[in-house]
Amino acid sequence: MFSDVEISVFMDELEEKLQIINDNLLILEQDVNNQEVLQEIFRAAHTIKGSSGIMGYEKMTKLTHEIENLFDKIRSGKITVTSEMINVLFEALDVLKMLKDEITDPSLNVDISDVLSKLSSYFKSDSSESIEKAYDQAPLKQDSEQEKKSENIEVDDALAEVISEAELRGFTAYKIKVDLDEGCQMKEVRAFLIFETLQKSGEIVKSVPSAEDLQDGKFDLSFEVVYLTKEDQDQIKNMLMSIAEVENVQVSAISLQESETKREDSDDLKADKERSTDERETKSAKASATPAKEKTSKSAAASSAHAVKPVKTVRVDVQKLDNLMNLVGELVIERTRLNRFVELFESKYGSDELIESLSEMSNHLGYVAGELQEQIMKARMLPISQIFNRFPRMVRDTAQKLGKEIDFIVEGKETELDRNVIEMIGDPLIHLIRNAIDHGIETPEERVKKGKPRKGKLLLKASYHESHIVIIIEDDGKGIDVQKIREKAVERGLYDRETVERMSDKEVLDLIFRSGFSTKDEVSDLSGRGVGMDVVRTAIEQINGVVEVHSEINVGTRFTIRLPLTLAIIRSLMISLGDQIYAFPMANVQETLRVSEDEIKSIGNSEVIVVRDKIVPLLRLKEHFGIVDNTHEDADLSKELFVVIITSMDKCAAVVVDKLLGEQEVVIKSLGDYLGDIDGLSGATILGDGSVALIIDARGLVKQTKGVESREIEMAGVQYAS
Amino acid sequence: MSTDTMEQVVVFKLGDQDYALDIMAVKEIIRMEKITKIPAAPDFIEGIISLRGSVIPIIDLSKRFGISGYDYIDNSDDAAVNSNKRIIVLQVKETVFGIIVDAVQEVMSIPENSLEPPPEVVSGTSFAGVQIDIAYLKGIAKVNDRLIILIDHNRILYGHETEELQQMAM
Repeated sequence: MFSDVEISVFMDELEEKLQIINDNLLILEQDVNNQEVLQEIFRAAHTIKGSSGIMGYEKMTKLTHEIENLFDKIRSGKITVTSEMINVLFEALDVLKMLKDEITDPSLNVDISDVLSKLSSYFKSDSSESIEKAYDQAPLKQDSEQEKKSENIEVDDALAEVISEAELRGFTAYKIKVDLDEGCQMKEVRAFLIFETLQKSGEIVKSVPSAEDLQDGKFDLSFEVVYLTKEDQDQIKNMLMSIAEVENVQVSAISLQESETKREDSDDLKADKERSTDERETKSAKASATPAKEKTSKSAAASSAHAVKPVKTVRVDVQKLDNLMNLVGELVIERTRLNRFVELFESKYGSDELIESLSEMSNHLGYVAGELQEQIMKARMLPISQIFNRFPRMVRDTAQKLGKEIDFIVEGKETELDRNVIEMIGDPLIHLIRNAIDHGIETPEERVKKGKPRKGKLLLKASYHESHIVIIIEDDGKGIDVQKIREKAVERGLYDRETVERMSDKEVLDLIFRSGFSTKDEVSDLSGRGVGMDVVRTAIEQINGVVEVHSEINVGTRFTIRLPLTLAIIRSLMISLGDQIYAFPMANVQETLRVSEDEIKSIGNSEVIVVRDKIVPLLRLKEHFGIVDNTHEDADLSKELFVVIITSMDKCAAVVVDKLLGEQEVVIKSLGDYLGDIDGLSGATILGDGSVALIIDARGLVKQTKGVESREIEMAGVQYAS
Repeated sequence: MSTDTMEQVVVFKLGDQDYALDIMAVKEIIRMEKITKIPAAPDFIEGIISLRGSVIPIIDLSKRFGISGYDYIDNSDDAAVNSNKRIIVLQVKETVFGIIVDAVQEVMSIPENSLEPPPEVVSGTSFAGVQIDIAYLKGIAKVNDRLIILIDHNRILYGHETEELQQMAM
């Protein structure tokens, strides 16, 4: 059986290939004659077929075999692509995805007969050949192609480049010729084993016949590979000879000078021959990228084909990175202590050489620790393409269902952010994109009538902006009618007419994020949006993000989501209560004020203050938290209080604190399982002096502004204001 | 032979009484530092401190065990007493936490045969001169005329207040 590692490598590869098919199908739909795209899909399907065959996933092999056949026909021009066919292909892709899930959850028991018959119906119309024949032909054709090629590997430019680069890294390139035993039963398995063995201590950059063919068993008893390794000749030989049914192994080093001359020689050869070599090279490079079950060979192949530097990756448990992060945190704290000692020494003994160099060391240590922290932070990041890649298909499906035509543009896929943020941001984005298609972009007819291009434009863009990631979702649809929202707000009893009219357009637009304001059927009809927008905002706030909306009638709507780069660090407003320090996440801080005691009014049992005509419930945090203050302070009515206005989910609260200490970036630490979640706190952070400050959970705190419901306060506010 | 089995313990003082904990549960012993109070936490949780980058809860044993007539804060003016105060960091299963003690005395091997099970008395009964909830005891050792109360470290976190803790976690 295959080990977990092998299965996970297979799954990774499968994931990647499915994504390739997905992306290319989308392109194919726009441009049915794009040969390159056809090739890509064909190749991806072929790879899945090969590797799933080895792993023994029959259904997957069968299905990809059909897809491959179909594309073979399309490639050769025997069948033309129809939009119906694309739909079937997407269906097949979905089934493939299900099959993939079936690997981890065998209880799914996916049925492929339906989609298989749909796929094969395209062949039946093409009566000249049966499916089987088509399948038989493919290897035949390839075999004959192979025969044309010379058996010896030749070193061309692309390969030479890979080799020379590898040599710089201390690798040596070898040409290895492997002969299998004549009685060998499963030569493809042997080939696979040989590949695996080799890849344990080096990289296979090229093979003849291609790795693809080798895995399908489309070769005689021998094959050749170009192999980069740090091992020496004998070791390679011993390694390979230890595999059963290997008859003979020849290993020879490739030196580039030699191959240079060889190339010059080959230059003299006919252009015809040259072209075929090149063709084969690209083919085998791409081929070796696919079935070889090892990321390294993939990147190596990519480099030979496109001369891109290979990216080497290692999978690391996030826990390990977290531990590293903690250790760096300790380092930073120790460094702060060291710094204090330097200061102490300085004040005690004055400045002398020893102290100077101590201070220098401390500074350098601080610099290194800072760098280390940043690098580890970066190691935790993933490109946003992880989720962005899901969207083109979704946009296509949604648009098709709603009869809209949409040009979906994705920018900044490579933007990296913390994996936790990536996990959280997916759903809100889906929501916003669906909304844009459903309610933003008009039908083609409507658009033409308005003088806009038939196709609506939908832009999804991620970019860095200072220490934030900004994600923009922008459509050129009908926009949001602010006036209608105003009416709706009055109708729903959220505000009276006067208040609503006084609100700025921006404030009114913000209303769509209010819970209770939006219910699907009612609001989407009139404003065009509002399907669970409060859910979107809540999800984004949970990861300390901010979402804003900007809209112009008939021009379009833009949602801007601002996210922190990481969840581990937040910008906070530091305040003190008694002798303890607390941190308010800046995302929730609206403003800070000074109010005197006599500005505090009471409504019912609750204290409130008026901030620019708005009534805000007041929360005396010290009393709320039951903090006994040892630093006696008398309740002087004329004394001014520091108030922090915090907002969360369109509710505000004014929090009375003792002192404002300033802004700071803090690393969030959990309070641990034992303490669990404590009302009003979201965690703790360690300050520069090693002491601990608690981080306020604004959401919880706003919810706790007890007594008057905020709705009631608003109503009261209206009365108060009028 | 059972006489050979020894239990290694860390002996510490709370007030005037000697207590001991199984040394295997003790991760380290650190000096007293500023403890950050947590609002809305149960009263026996004194607060949290940072232990080399992670946040750990600190438990006030006297409150936890219902030892009456003792409060570690009361002595805080006395510099001599304060300098002896330590935080014993324990690890019970996955949870790391600290307890405040007045002084750490010594590491001692107690022969198992000198260990007596806690007396069968109702909790809260005066015992060895202090009030302590019997549920947290493992036994009492008599070593050279000293009475040392052995604490069951497994009970410190989740004694019989499990419900309370669960509520907090809500």
